[in-house]
Amino acid sequence: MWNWWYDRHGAIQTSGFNFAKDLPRLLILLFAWQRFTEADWGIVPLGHPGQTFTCDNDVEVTLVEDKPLVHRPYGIIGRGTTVLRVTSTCDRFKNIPLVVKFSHPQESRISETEILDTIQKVAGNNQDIVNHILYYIAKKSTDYSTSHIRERLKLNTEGARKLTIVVFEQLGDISGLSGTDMWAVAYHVDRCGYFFLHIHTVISLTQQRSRQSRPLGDRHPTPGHKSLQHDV
Amino acid sequence: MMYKRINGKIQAYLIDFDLASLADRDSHNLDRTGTMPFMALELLHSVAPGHAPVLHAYAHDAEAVCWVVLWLGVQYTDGSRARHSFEDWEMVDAVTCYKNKFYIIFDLHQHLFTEPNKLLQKPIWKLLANFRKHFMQKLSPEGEVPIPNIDEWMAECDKEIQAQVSCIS
Repeated sequence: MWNWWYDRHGAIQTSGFNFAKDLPRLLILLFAWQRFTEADWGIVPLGHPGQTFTCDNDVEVTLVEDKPLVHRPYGIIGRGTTVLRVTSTCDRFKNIPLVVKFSHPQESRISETEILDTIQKVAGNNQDIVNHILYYIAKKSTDYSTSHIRERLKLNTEGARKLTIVVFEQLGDISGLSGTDMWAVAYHVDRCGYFFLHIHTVISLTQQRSRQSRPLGDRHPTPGHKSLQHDV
Repeated sequence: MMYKRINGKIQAYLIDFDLASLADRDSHNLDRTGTMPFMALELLHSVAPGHAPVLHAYAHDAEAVCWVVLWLGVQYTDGSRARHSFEDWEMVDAVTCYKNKFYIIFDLHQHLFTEPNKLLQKPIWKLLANFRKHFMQKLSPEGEVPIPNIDEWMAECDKEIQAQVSCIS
């Protein structure tokens, strides 16, 4: 008998044992499983309709339904992003359609909220950025990580994933747009991305100098736009 | 990319910054992130065995925006997928996706935009041809490739679209 554990990180297989020859071991295993809580089975007790949870900034949200607004992820391994509708009783967000995003990014990556905080800090009042970036409303820290079981089993934790929960305003899906409306979206986000180029340049000037041998592609600023650096 | 309508006007938003990285910190991401059908040719090409990795740059995102507009413009009418012209970009490996997308640029007249998106057809074809040309230059061994002024490409495209709009109205 071999046991397998699957999570967003991948699969872990135990070494096998012959339960016909070693029945007590099987019984111990069954008794252990009998005592497992949902969390022990790897089930995160979040995401049920009607469930209310409080975020780190005390904003309370309630899940409306468990029907995801984006397609369900194809496999068990990976980020597994799920977006669900939520409501908030908080006065500031009472009349705004909200969503919560559950995902399992790699722990070693900078979090989405940290990146958004950085953008907010460096964007200043550059309208090409501030009007086209969706800042988060709330986040909820969690401790659900695929590294726990691997640490216990002394396995490699590289690539471990952690559940992150972030609340945003709900936006419209661009596949419903056409013609000039669709172009407006493409043009806005492209302008926004273009200004990121300059933010990147400002932030990472030293880094880029030390990376001369790497393929920098078109991250170099174009001479005509250097003045923009003063804006960010 | 998502949008919100504010006083009737479209305001676009960039989302999913969990897929972004900060330029002043080395990325610890072990995978190449992106949605395959919309990824830039150069990035798809770099995934093939034996090819050198490529640093993700602004040009790749700008190119991806054009692939998204082509995808929606050709296949969608009033929010629903009316055609399945680019099925061979989905659920395939990166190298196959690269090949299928690379050759479609020569064959775009076979995939005309739907009626509500007609005015985007020529500008998007032109933009994709520009991106492809730039990528081909990078592939050739002849010296330094000039950095494209994508902002100018997009502004030109915007002008063409606005001109068509004023013609219609």
